[in-house]
Amino acid sequence: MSILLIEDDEFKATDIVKVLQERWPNAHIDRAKSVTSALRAIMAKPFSLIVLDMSLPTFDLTGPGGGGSAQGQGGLEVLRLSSRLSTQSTAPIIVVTQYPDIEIEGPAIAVGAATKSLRHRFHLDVRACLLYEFDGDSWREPLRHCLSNIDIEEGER
Amino acid sequence: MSKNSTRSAKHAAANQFRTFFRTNKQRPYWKEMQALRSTITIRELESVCCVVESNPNYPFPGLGNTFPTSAAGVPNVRFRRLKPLTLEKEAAIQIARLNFHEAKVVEALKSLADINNTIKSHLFDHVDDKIKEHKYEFGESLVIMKKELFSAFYRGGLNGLTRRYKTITTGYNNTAWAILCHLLYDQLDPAFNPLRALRHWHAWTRLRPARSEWYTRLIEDELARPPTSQADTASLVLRASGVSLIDLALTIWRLRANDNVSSSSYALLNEDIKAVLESSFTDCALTIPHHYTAADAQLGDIQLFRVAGFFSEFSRISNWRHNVASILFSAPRSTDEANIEWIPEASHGMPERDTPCSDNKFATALTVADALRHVDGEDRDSFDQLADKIADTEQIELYIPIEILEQLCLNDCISGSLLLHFVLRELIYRRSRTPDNELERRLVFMTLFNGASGTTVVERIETISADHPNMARLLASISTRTFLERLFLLMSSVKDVIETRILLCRWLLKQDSVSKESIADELEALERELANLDARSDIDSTRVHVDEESLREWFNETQQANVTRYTQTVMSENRPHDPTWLAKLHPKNVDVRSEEDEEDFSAETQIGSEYILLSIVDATLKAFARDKTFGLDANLSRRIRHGSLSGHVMTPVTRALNRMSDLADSHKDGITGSGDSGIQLTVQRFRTFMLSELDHIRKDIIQISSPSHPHGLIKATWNTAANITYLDAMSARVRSRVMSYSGQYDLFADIYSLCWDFLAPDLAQTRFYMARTFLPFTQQHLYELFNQNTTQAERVVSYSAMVDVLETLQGRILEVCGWFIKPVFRQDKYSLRMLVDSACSIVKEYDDKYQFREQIDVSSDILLNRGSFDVFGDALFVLIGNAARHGKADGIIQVSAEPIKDAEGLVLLLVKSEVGTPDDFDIALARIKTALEIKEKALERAAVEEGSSGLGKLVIVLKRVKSPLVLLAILPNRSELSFTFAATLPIEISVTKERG
Repeated sequence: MSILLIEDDEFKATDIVKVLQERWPNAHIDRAKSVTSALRAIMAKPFSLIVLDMSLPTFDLTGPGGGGSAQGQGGLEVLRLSSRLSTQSTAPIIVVTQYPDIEIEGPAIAVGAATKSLRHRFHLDVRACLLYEFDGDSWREPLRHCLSNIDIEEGER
Repeated sequence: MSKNSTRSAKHAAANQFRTFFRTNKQRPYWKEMQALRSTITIRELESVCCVVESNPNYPFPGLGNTFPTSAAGVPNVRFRRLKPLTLEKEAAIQIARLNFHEAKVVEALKSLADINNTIKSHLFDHVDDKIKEHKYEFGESLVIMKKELFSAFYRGGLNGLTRRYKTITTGYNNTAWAILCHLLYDQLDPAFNPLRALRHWHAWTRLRPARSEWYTRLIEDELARPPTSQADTASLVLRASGVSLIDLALTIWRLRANDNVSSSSYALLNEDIKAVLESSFTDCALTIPHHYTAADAQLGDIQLFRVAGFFSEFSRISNWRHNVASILFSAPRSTDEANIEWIPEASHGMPERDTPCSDNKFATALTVADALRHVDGEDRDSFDQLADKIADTEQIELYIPIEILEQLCLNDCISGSLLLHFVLRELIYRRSRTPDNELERRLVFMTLFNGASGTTVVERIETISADHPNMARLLASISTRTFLERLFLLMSSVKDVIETRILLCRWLLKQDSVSKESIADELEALERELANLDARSDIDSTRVHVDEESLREWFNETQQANVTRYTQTVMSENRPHDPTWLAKLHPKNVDVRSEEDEEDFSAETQIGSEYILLSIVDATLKAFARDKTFGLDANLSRRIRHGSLSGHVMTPVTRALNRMSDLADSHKDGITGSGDSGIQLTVQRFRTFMLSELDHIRKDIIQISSPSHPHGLIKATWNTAANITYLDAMSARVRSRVMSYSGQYDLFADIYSLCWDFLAPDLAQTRFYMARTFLPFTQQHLYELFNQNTTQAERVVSYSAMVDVLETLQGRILEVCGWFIKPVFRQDKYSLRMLVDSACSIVKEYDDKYQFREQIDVSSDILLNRGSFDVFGDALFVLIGNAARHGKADGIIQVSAEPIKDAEGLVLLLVKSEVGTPDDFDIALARIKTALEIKEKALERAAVEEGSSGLGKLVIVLKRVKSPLVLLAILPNRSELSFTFAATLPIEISVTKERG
């Protein structure tokens, strides 16, 4: 199975990969570090699961000229465009963000309550929105729980 | 009608209004009037009119207005709660009223016809006299106001119009009369595109509450928007009756001409009135004021549409305007009508005029818009041609309802033409700038360019240009840097974006009909940026920021028409700045009607260049502060409210708290028994408290003030006494520059700078809150927790760790204050003197104990580049902050800077501070030395841990400046009780991205 992790922060990505590997030790995890690389990855092939950060640069920071304009809600841009692509992804999506709330074209919605709004707004299979804490472990258990509810065979995709 | 019926109707009317008979007491009568209107039959109307109309014993002129003598009653607010009846009955009532006043109505119409003939003969000296006589005989009316304004404009241009507007509205500023006058003023104003005026007023009426229908219905009618139903028509008839009998007669005449009123209803109208309407108000050749003739003596046909509004009492002109309105407003035709030849009746039925039009842009746009409404078939080439025509048609989006555009996008027949699909998406986005509409536009663009794989954007545009040059120019103009950056599937890096835009600029420079000067400027800036792509500084990433490039793009797209109107108005006013204009907006200076009219028109009834500028500033400030993509709110959201604030404060504070907790563990045996110690309890509770408080600040305090964030400290408003002063000064400055440059002046830079000026008090308030409210509150709470939860022995053991937490907290919160500083605008050189002044002023805000006086000896000639400006900024805040912290509260801080003679490009910066006592001197010196002697390995840690002095961080910053001559030292002088920080820094620094 193939998982796409869209995350520009190395420390956080390492943390998330550990939890993903607990659940699927043999999974192939692709990494995207910007809105652009995320969308290209989604267009290139289907994934069994997408784990998405909300704050992303436009381009990979390592590219010539850096990341471009900062996008606090770059994750929303990934969702917005994914929902309109002809190769629309059907993979379940888990949002893992350090943002306590998400502004979906209007007032901010607490991360915990944003799942339904994102699902309805973009017609994508958004399973959960989780709050990541860089100096705490409280996010791990909800992520484990969410992954345990995702029924994907190891060989699938 | 039988005598009995007549008598009973008269009695019913008299009885209904018995309480108003010969009464001096003013009170509402609309309920009684509505009851009578509902109950009387059409046959009884004549006798009821005998009782009610123009009866001096009643406090009302009749069942509607008659010949009002004062503009205060036009339209009459006291009829506003009347509800329209069925069209048949409403028309019958109002026609009966006209019949009752038949003689005077006929005379009034003849008088109006005479005025029209005098206008047609261009005898404007006589027009004013005739209008005066007419008003004396027949009172005020909307149609006469039109003639007055038209005549004033014809004779005196915009200045004449402005003067007449003021004469007409003086004393009635806050009334529907003034609103109607303002609407007519906007329609005549040569600097205002009449279609923009129409859209503006249409949007304005839609924002008004339903209870405002008594005058908004009249505005809609003036905008040529025809009634869409019988109820709508009945409403218009009722509202026209609240204006004057002459307006009522002309409204019924027009409605009949457009088949909105049935022939059977119209047949009830008195024959004499009908005769004068038919003979004098059927057709006329439009008189076009010469002020509409462009500089090259050409007259645009859009002026016909504008002027037609002032002669819309003529049935043929009214018919034509209705046809135009059907293109401007109506929904798409049904499918069975979709194959109709797309020849618009509107342009063919153009009225005659006394001056030939050499520019047919209006007719062309109407034709194109109508073609789009009827698009059908599968001929891709013709769709591509239509797209090219649309791309070449100025402001075509004003001619097509957005609903039509949206429906067309879903139409299968256009799917074969990506050019037409894109242009439709572009028009939708111009009309409604939502993220979804923006994405749809980008998606079609990406499909259009992805289709030709292997070719670049510029190559594809070249190809398109061969057959569709207008479309190619549109695509290239839209592909700004910001737009390209969002083409995720086409662009792969910032470099890619810049290179593409450079090629596009070069391509555009080869084209005709583009603004070559601005493209050349942009090209030069892009080439410079590309050459220095690796030397960009991200040091300001936590400071408040607004994306100036995107704001400018927004400004160009949405405000350009207003800017043009502003500059043209300034040029035609040709007068000095009016220093009293802002005072007119103050509620106490506005004429307020005493009666039922509680509507606030104070802003909408003001005219002149200052008010146009105010509306531009107001809109720009809203985008500047609140736009979710590029505005301040977006920056606060992504850089401060989320993650950064909590992380920046809590990471080092948590580490300091952990050290405190570790200390408790290491002394556990000697302090307590089992379980958490008092220190650990303090640490846990303080951490929880801090997280909760920071969350509160994030959610409620560092917010743009709004109903959902009432405690937000950032008001972002121009409407304060201090900001009005800024606005007034800017208005005077810009006005004089517009006049000196003959209208060729770019306002954006002034308005952008003004927005930051408006924001300065809010930022200061936010800094003040963090330093003076939040910091003492958190420190006090830590003290209380510490004292409540710990034993004496624990306090002794952990006191120094607790002080470390306090100082870390203080350092971090003061650093957060530094985020709320107005950023400097990107320029080539920055003044060090200005930076020192700002740093002193801001450091003083940090603590009310800082009462130092500064002595600054820095030449204004020392100029820094962007990189050194950031480094000097960091150095000054740290050094002056330390000088204030360790120095005497009311002492003197001396700041000096001078170039070092033997080292070219190097500046010696000295910050000297007095200390109160020898003991204070020793303590301060020990702390400073500790901070400066930070070990190499601890440098990285210091960036997040070290709190109070900031000196460790400064050491890191200076180490990253790649120059062997950069130094930082402390020069203590115990005998003088002073210490001096000395730093040498280069005035030109190139900073790499990694540094941030």
